[in-house]
Amino acid sequence: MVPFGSNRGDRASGAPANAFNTDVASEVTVSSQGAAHSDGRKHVAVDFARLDTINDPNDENHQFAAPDHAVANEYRHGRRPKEMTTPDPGSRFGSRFISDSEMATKYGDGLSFWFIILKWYGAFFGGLTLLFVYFFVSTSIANDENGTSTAELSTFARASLGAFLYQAHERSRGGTIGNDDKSEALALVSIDAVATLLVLAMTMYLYTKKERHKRENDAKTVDLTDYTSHVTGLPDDVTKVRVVFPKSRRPYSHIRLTLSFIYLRTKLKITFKGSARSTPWSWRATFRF
Amino acid sequence: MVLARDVSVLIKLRQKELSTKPWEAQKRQALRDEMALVSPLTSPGEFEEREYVGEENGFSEETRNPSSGCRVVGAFVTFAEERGRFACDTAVTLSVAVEKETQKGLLERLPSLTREPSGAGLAVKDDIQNFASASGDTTFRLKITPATSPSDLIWANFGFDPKTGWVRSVVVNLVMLCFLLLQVSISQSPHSASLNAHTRLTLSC
Repeated sequence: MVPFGSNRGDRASGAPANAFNTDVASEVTVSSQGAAHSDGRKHVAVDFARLDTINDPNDENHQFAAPDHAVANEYRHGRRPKEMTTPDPGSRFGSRFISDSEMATKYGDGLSFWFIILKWYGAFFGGLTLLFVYFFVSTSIANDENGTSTAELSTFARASLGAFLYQAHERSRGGTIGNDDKSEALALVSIDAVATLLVLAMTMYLYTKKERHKRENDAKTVDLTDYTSHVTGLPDDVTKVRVVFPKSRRPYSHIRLTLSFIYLRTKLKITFKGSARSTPWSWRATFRF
Repeated sequence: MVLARDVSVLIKLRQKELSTKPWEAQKRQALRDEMALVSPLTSPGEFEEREYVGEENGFSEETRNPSSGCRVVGAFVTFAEERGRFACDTAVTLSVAVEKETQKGLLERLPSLTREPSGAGLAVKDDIQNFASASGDTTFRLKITPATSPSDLIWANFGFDPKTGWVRSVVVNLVMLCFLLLQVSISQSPHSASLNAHTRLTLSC
């Protein structure tokens, strides 16, 4: 979900530029003098002449451009989640060259991220295999010295710490364990520990990547959650009528009043300066969710 | 707007009904009658229709089943336009900011806020998180968050109180810790050591 107003004048969406530049409104809150504030903070001087693009006739954002409906429809179509069961001939779904974002639009965040995880895990475990080359060479030498074959130890045991421990056990019985053996054992255990830490770090990294991927997909698509809020803490016996439709002679509820105000402000394009205050007539407007 | 209700009672009754034997028709009918008594709906869609008909008849809203055991635990409010949702988020952000400032005792520094007429304290007028009861004597504090996708919701879990969720979390983690300690103690026991020796002997043979 992208905050409205952030894509003003976006030619890709086919929408014309908005006449009101809210970036100006957000930036003029700092001091124009550039002087230090009483609490010690240094305010940034603002060049109001540069920011005042509202009345600038040469600003390209304020030249009227008719909206391109074809581009707008294509933009809207690209942002709407697709139905998995409905054929979509205009897209590349089914192609092996589909991008991650296209797959997320069609199949959701989970499936698209699954393929991203596959790529990362492929590279990660390839790197771990390289890291364990010394480990595998050491176990191979241990197996050769011990004379342990697959008939005596399983394949997995021959390629694990078990083979090396078995070799150490045999050497300890002969009393031939030296400093090199101890250093080699420490190196093998260290490799194992490093691999464990790398797996933990990779898990945490993929978790943050998943959250970022989810936010990026949310910004690219428009669905029901972009229009919906979840309200908890209501009385147990509340009804829709009591929340949405106001009653005369009854104390108004703030959520009802505020929702009515939001509805009127967005529908009737009413702009209030200062704080948003409901007027006595606003709550009389009836609307349905 | 969609009200989310605690339907755990209905789910339990339905499970009982499904577990009845084919010849227990009387018991099954009794369970269905009980479900009809508990449910806020007498037939699909009727509840919604009656609510809005009530609006046209002078807001006579008391049309729901008064004996319903399915209490309201939340509501999903869908706006006609996306900017409505953003405006709602903005109002919530302001309300939360004021709440935090109040806790820090820094509210006096915000000149844009107004003092309550009663002089009880400072607050934002038209606080979106405040919801007055029908009688007007009780104010409920709402929590308004962005909604998740409907497919991500587990409707049967709506009856659980989120305020006591940490208790269940602690209990589950304690049980898991007990199992872990039990496993470690078994693996370190002398009997386990003899098993390991037997395994080593088997491998060497």
